[in-house]
Order: sequence, then C-alpha cells, then structure tokens
Amino acid sequence: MKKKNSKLPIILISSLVLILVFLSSKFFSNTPFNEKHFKLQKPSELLKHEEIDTKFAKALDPYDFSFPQDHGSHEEFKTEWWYYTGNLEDANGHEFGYQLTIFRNGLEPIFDAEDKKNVLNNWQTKEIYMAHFAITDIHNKKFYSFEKLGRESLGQAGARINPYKVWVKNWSIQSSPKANAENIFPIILRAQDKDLSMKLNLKPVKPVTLQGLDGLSQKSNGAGNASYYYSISKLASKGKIQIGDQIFKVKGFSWLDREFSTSSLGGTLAGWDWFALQLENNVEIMYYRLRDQENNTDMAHSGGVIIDAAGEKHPFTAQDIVLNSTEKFKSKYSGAEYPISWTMEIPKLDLKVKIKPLLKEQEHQNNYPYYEGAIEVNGEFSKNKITGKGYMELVGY
Amino acid sequence: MLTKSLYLSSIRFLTKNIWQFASLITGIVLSVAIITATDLAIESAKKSFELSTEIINGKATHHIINNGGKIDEELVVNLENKYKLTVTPLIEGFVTKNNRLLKVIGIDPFSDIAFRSIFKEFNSRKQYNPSAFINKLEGFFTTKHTAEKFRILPGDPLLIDQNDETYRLKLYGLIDSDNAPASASLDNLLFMDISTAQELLKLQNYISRIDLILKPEEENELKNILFAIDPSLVLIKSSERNQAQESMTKSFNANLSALSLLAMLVGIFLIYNTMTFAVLQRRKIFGFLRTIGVSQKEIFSLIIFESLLFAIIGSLIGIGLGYLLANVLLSFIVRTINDLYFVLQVSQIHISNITFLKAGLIGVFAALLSALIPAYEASNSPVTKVIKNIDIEEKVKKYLPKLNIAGLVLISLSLLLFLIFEKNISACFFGLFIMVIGFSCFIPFLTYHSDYILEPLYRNTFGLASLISLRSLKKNLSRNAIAIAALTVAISLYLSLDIAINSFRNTVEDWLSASLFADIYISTPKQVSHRNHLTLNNKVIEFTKTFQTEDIIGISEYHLRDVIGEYGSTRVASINSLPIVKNSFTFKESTKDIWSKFDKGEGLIASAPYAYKHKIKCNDKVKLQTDKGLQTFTILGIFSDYSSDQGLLMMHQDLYRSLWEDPNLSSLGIFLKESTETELEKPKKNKIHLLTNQKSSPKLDKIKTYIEAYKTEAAKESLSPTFFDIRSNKELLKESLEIFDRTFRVTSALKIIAVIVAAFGIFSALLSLIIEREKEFALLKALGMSKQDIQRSISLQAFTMGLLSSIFAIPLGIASAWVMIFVINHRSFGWDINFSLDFKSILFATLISVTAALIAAIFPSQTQSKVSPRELEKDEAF
Repeated sequence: MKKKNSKLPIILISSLVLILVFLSSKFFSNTPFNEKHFKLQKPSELLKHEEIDTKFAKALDPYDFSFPQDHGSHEEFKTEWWYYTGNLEDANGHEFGYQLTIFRNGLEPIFDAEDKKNVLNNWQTKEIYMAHFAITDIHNKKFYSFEKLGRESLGQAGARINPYKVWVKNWSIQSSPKANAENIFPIILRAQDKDLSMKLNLKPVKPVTLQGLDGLSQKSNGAGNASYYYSISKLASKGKIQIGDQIFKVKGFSWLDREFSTSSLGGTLAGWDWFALQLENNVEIMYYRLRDQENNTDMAHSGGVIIDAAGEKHPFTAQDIVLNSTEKFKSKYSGAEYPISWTMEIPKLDLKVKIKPLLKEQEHQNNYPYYEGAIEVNGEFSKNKITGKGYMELVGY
Repeated sequence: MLTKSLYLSSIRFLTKNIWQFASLITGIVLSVAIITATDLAIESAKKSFELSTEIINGKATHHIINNGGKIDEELVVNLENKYKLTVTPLIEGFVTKNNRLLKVIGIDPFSDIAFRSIFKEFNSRKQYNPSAFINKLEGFFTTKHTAEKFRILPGDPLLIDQNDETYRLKLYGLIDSDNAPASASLDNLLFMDISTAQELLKLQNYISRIDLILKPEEENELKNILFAIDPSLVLIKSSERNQAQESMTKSFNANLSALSLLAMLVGIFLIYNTMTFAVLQRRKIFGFLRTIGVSQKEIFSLIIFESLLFAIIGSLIGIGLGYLLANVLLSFIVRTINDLYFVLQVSQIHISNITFLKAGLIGVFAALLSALIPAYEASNSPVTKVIKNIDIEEKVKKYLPKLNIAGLVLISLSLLLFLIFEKNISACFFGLFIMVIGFSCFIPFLTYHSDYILEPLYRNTFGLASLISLRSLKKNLSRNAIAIAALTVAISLYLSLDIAINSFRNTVEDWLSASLFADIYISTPKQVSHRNHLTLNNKVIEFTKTFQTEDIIGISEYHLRDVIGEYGSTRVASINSLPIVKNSFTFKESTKDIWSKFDKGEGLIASAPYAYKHKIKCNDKVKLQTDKGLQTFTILGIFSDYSSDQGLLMMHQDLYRSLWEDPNLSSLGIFLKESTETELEKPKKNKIHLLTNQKSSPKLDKIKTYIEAYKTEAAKESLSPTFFDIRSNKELLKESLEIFDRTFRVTSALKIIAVIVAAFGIFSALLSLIIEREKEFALLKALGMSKQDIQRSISLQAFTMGLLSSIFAIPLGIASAWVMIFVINHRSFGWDINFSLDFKSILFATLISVTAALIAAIFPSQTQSKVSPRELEKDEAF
C-alpha cells in the first residue's frame, strides 16, 4: 500500500523532469541561424514588371551602319549586346570553348549628353551592364561560368568608341595598342574570376556581315519588333587561358554577334535556338530558329545566312532548312530539357551535318539559366566530307 | 490509503488558506520573474547585436573605413577595376520617422550578392526587375514587422523628413526569414539602393564603408595601397570590428547581470522565507499526524512534494511574467546602449530557453533546498516537541552565536575577494553578494536583542499592550528573522543603488557644471546623436564666426572624432585652448607647465577612464594613426572626465590640424560678457549651478537674446535649423543629465522590483504569523481586548519589523554603496565618484520599509481582528 501511494511524488518529479526535458529539447532543436533563411517576400507590383519606356528608339527601317562608330553603344535603344564566342586549342590539342558577352540594358533612353547628366548622383544610373563569361574545358569535361553586373556610372561599366572599350568592372573588350581611331581591331578580351582567367587577342578574318535586311532583323510581326544585327563570322584569336595553376597558350577562331533593339520579340515567343558554325572550308553558317510555346518554328521570322570564303553573304529562310534534334540533356539545376544534338540539312546547298556539343553540360547556371556551348560539326557539304566547330545557344527551355 | 489522505490534507490546507498559498507562489513567481527578465533583456540586446552584424557583415572578411567617416565612392570602382578585388560599397545612416530612429543601409545589389544573401533572390530577376530599385531613388525593403509598424504594404509610400526636405520612399518588398530572431534583428532597418541612400542622407559622392572578401595574402598589399591613396583610410578585419563594438558594452552588461544576481538574492531569500513558513506553520499538524502513525519519511516526502508543486507552478508563472517584464527592461537597456555606445535596433525579445531553464531551475532548487531543513526538522524532531512548537525556537536561539560567527567569516571573505580580484568585476559582485549574506546572518541575533532598546521605548510610547507585539516577535524568531532579513536585503539594495547613483549623478553634475564652460553651444542637430561624430556644416561655422555681437568675448572650438590608435579605435578631441577653457579642467595627475606644453603641441592629455583602461601615467607615450602616418604622443596630464567610459585623448587644435587633414568642427562654444566682469581669465567654476537656481539674471537674458538673434539671423542667411542646434549651457546640462538618468533607468526599475519583492515577503510572513496566532488573538479577545486593540497590535508588529529592517538596512546599504562606488564602478570604468550620502534616500528607504510592512499588515489585521473568542473552544476540540 505504501509503495502504491508513494507514486505521487514520483509522478510529480517525473513530470518536472519531463518539463525540463521539453524545455531543453526546445533549446537544442533551435536551428542554428543561417543567413540563407532570408527571403524577399511579397514584392510590390513596382518590381514585378518592367514597363518599357516608350521613349526608346525602335528598329523600324534599315540602318545606315558606319564603322567603327557602330561597334560602340546605341544608348537610344533599350537592349544591346556584344557577343563573343569561340573555339580554341593549345599546342597539345587541349581544346577550349569560351564565351564573353556584355549586355547593356537601358533603364531610360539616352539621346544626348544632357540625358546622361540628368541624374542626382553617380549611382543613379540609366543603364545596367551585365556580362557573362564562360570557359568550356573540353579535355577535363568542365564548364565554368560567371556573371558580373555593374552600373553605367562611376566607370563601373560602359561602352566607348575612342579608344574602343566595352567593360563591366574588370572584364573588358578593348582595342589593343596596335589599333587606331579608324580601325578598332585588333581587340583584347579580358575576364577572370578567382581561379580562372582569360586574355585573348582577336583580329577579324572576315568582314562585317549585316544580318537580315541590311542589318534590320525582323523578329516578329509588327513594326519595331526587330533588332539591328551584324556579325563578324570569323576572328583569328590567340592568347592564354589560366585555370588554377595551369596556363594554356591557345589559338583558334571567334565569332562576334552584335545586336541592339528595343522590343524585338513577339509575345507568343518562348525562346530561340541559335547556331554559329565555322566550317573548315572557310565557310560560316548562322541560323536562328524562333520558337513558340509548342516548340513550333516561327517560319516567317526564323532564318540564317551563309558566309562564303570570300566573305560574301547568302541569306536563307526557315523553309530552306531541316533541323531535327537527336539528343536531349536535362539540367539538374534549372530542370530545363535542352536539345543538344541535331541534324541540320540545307538541301539547296547540298549540306547535311550532325551537330554535337563538345561537352554536354554547358548551361549557364547563374541567375538566368540558358545553354551556350561549344559544338562540333560533322557531315557532308557538296558531296565532300566536312568538319567544323561553332557555338550553339538554346534559350527559353 | 493514508498517504493519499496525507496529500489531500495538504491540498485542503492550502485551498482553505488560499491567501497564504497565493503569497507563497508569489514569492517564487517574483524571484523567477526577475531572473528571467534581466537575463532575457541583456541576452536579447546582445543577440540582436550579434545577429544584425552577422547579417549585415555577411561574408565580408575586411572593411575599409575612414577615420573621418566618409569614403570617396571612386575608391570602390578603383579597387574593383584596377586591383580586381571583391568589394561592395555600403552606406549607413539614420533617419527618424514618428520619433523612431531608423537605420538606412544603402547597398549595391549587384556587388552585394557576393557578400549577403538578402538580395540574392532579388538579383535572380525571376520575380524582380531591379531596374526600378536602382534608378528611381525611392525603393526600399524592410522587415514585415517594421512595415506593419508604419502600416504600409508593398507599393505604399513612406514619407521621411530629412534635412528640411520630405523624401517619398516606396516600400518595394518585405524581407523575411523563417528564423524569427534573425528577422527581428533587422527591424527598423531600411535597405535601399546606394543611390537612394546617398540622396536621402545627403552623402553626395561618398559612402560609409567598403566591405571586402580578401585572401590572406592580399591584406598587407591592400594596406599599402590604401595608405598611398589616403592615409586616413583604415583596413580592419571584420571580426575585430565586431569585437571592439561588443567590448564597449561589456562593463555595462557585466554590471547589469550582477545587479540581476543581487535581485535574485532577494528572490531566493523570499523563496526561502515562504517555504519555511509553509512548513513551520503546520509543524503542529505534522506532529499530530505523526502521533497517528504517519512515518517520518512520509512527512518528509509530503513537504518535498508540496514545495515541488509550488516551485513548478511558481516558476512557470514567473517565467511568463519575466518575459513580459523583459520587454520593459529591454527598452531601457537599448536606450542606454544607444545613448552611450552605438545604435542598436532591438524590437523583440529573443526567447532563450537557456534563460527559462536557468530561471526555472533556480526557482525549483531554491524552493526545494529551502524546504529541506524545515522538512527534515519537522519530520525528525520528537513528536511531543513538534506539537508544542517550542523546540524550534529553542534551537534557533542556540544557533545564534554560530550564525554570528558565520556572518563574520562571510564578511571577511568578501573583503578578501575585493582585495584579491582587483580587476574582476564578477568576483567583486560575488564579494558584494557574500557581504550581504554575511550581514544578514547577524539579523536573527540583532532582532532577538532589539527589545533591549525597543521595550522601554514601546512601554513608554504605546503602553504595556504594545509589548505583546514585541514579545511575539521574539517568540517566533525563526520566522520573523527571516522576514526581516528579506526586507533588509531588499531595502539595503534599494538604498545602496540609490546612494551609488546619486553620488555618481552629483559627481557628473559637478563635473558638467565645471566643464560646460561656454555660455552657448552650437552643435550638429541632435536628432542624429553624438555617436556618429557628425561635423558642423561649414556654413554654420562661418556664420557663427561672423555673427558678432558686442557681448561675445570668445569662441571655443571643439572637435571629436575616432582615430585608430595602438589600443584600437580611440576618441580624440581637439580644442583651440582659450584661457577660460583651461580653467575648467581638473587634473588628477599633471606635468609641469602643462598648458604651455599643450599649447605648443608637445603632447596631449588623457581622460581618467582612458588612463585607467590602458594603465597610462604622465609622460607615457601613446601611438595614433594620423594622416601623416603613425605618430607617438606624450601624455602631459590626466584629467577628470565622465563623458565616455571608453575614455578620450585631447590635443590642441593646431597639433591636430597639423597631423590630420580635417578642418571640421563638432561644436562651437560662445562666451558672453558677464555683467560685472569681462575678463576671460577668471575661473568660473560652478557658474551654471548659480544660473540654474536663478529664474532670470542679466547673464541669462544675454544668453537668451543671443540665441534668439542667432536663430533669426541664421534664418535670413537661409541656414536651416536642421543644420545646427543652439543651446544654452543650462539646456545642455539638463539634456546631459537626462541621458544620465535614462542610463540608470534599468537600475531604478530593478530597485523598485526589489522593494516590491520584499513587500511581498513581509506580507506573506505577517500573514502566516498572524494566522498562526489566531488562538492567541482569541485569548486576548476573551481577556477583553477590542477589535481595534488587536488591529493595533498587529500593525505595531508590522511596524516593528519594518523599522528593524530599515535600521539594519542603513549600514548594509551604505556599505554596499561604498563597494559599488569604490570597488565595482572604479574597477569597471575607472571613474572616480565622490561618495555623497543623501539623508533623503535614507529617510525614504526607512519610509518604504515601514510602509511596505504596514501595508502588508492591513489584510491580516482585518481578518484576525474579527476572530471570535469562540475560536479558543474550537481549537480545544481538535
């Protein structure tokens, strides 16, 4: 009897212990503070949509290009880019692909110097520059990609023509000391991150090719839904790439794409596939395919160009080409499924090639994922075997 | 079944005596609440500081700051483009909105991404389009809690009045975290683009600091680069910067924790007090229970069971109450830190389970330990004696000499602690704690023998019947002594804090009166306080110098800033030494011809806290980083100063300007002609004292006239009143003392809590004692005493207890105050405080003590005076 009844204090003590255990367990379960817990919540509408300032100029008529001025920026347009890609190789056959792109994004149009001065301080910028830098180390199967943003103020980023320089912080595209006011080339590309750097010297082999109708490239129906677009399809490139402690002296060929526009893409457009092929017979092919949500090609506005050994351009339309994807790659990072291998046929030129990436994983895994990768080309051209290299861009998957 | 009825009997007893039950619980509740509240408040302030610096520093390994406060924005681009470093600029500043101080943090989201994750998502541009944020000079982000306080939603505007202009900001989005303390530590912070912050804070072309992620090998190289660019630029390690800020409040926090320990001491006393009562009161019942066969063990476990029950209930309520109290304490603490050290944003208590656990355990164990002795005593004493209840008092009497010896030992031990641990503040507080316990050991003895003096006094004043109260005090010494001791400790704590604070306040007031030498002060606007070391607008300086009236006999110039020295960040003041200014200094130590050397720039003078902190004497050398490199200075003298517990160094303006390219000033002092004397040379100590007591005088009128004229003329020159503050020395003194008083509001709060706790102690003690004496009162009634007679008797007993407590508390309070001033304060801050005993404090302490005791007596005297003589019979029946 005594035993039975003396349970009460035991119950009480054990309940006290339970309370203590509860309190301490609460304490120990306290998750350690992690900065990553922070989220920006409930953004106001002010931040969600970008309303394009109607004051920006639009690509309406064929443009009267004049170089070297037009290698510089066109601040009356909203968007502009300097797109360098290329395939390089060192003396030991160690292959690399590279990309250095600088984008300009206008927040307000700038028509003259007064517009530019119309700010309250140096950080209130009218333009944002963004740069993407990527190296594909084909031998080691590694893809490195980096992003850098800056304001067009305080010299953080910008584009100027004399002396020629387009830059975002310490990444730059600029004339070499050998260049002069009439000719910005040769140019030097510089970019680096912590353990990786690249310095290349580029000299055009082919002249400027104006895409579309004298450089006016219509992207969808409607006046102004176009961009001004030109390329230099082949630039002899040499320089060095450093990865960690290893320095590679490389040479090869680059491709430059330049575009500026205000609103070029139609509303139904989901994305595009872009190919720049540099064939061994000194012929280059560029083709872009605009896609809608159902992966249908916009036959009216997709198209390409062939640049022959003499640098003459021969445009072709989407009807002239048969493009089939043969292999897909699903990115773990973005979940996007990219068609990375293709067969490309242009019957009227008697061209039939296979396109394959030199490395599968060449997706830019930063804030705005897309696929930009080095490719190899194998097939037949006018009944002859042909090989080549190039770059492929897959956006909107 | 017997045990069950035992527990039931105990529960019945308590439910029948609900008041006693309540007071018992209250004792535990209050003690646990005090511990919880102080601990939570201090920890919250600390935690909040740590978290916000952690979030705001992010991954930065180093910072570049400028001694002068601002950094040219070009440096960011330079470091990034030319030296290829990972850097991000930062602007920090303050604005006010609805009297709330808001911290503005200007960032560059593009480069910020490498440092902090707050804007990571923003940068992803999936949901956000950063262009509006960067371009429109309006967008900001803040926490949900802060947005709610201003009743704004994303998209809504927030108007900020700053620099005479109204800025229209817009809330672009909310920052939130699943980690509540982390989120709360960002409250009252407005994150905005650096362009918006520059505009809002009028920092054209400047930023506040640069954060960097450096590789170890880059550090020295960068130091050289910075030195070449601008020697006032300083590269510091992120970790060192936080430590420096944290160590500033170390002494302050140590003092607070120690105070909470003292408050806890009162609490433990109270718990002990109430627990002992709960047992002693039923000693007789326990005796009877044992006569009917209940075992000793069962009695013992019954008492322990009860105590545990009280302890758990009391501790849980105490923790809850403590949490509520913590909010009040926290606002005091934060205010003080903001006044004295740096701006800290704390809006929420950080729940710390460790604190709850600690307070809960202290409550439970204090209650259990307190119950152990009486439980053991009640269950082990011979039954016959237990029933008679005499034995316990006999025992106590026997223990008295032993207690006295224990008291002596403890007090000697405390003195030894003060001597041995010179620099250890915690040890000093522990010494104080032991001293107080030691002193209270004498209380039973003193109470027992108090009748030697009180008896003749009472006999003559209150008549023979009053002796009943006195004898009853002596008869139930065991319980009465504990109650008196509890009240004594509380009152002495109250008294000692009062004396210490008053002494400190008087010292500071004297010092301020002497050192606020000028008649009128012109300084930067106070809405952004002195910590930021803002400098006076040049236009204001120019205007003041040209604004001449015939009354002006001199203008003193003062500049205060932080520079990096061999002991880290050091406050350096520079003055143009007018002869009159020199008279306001009191030197603790000085060299020959100190002022002529000072004027020639042969050295500088150090404030007493600085000298104490760094163990510096006259003719010692200190090194400071100047714009012309590291320089060594000789200390010419050590002067009294209470403006900063970090201490400061002072040099002549000419010396300062020859080494730093900094023509700025923090404040100007204007001297006006006296009506009778015009000489600058005359010492004018305590001048303000005279003035404060006067409603009007020719001098006061002159000051007033000058200020009015200054304001009018300044307005004509379109100098906005937001550029400067103009105040008479009287106003400045008043404001300084207000800050002082705010600093000690926490202490005052603790002081009051201690008294409340003690009043409860007395209440529960009296209640139990009087209930116990029910039979006695019935007998007295039967003998012919009236209801009023009994009420008077009870009140007299309460009065006696209050009186004795205050008599004991006075020496203890003075002694504790002495320890606080000369041992603890001097050792934590290096301040010399003149001990000043205010008889008003002593009188007030006595009054509190007696009043608390009398109030506590009201309820029991009401109930017990109604007792019927029939109670006698009832009791016989038992």
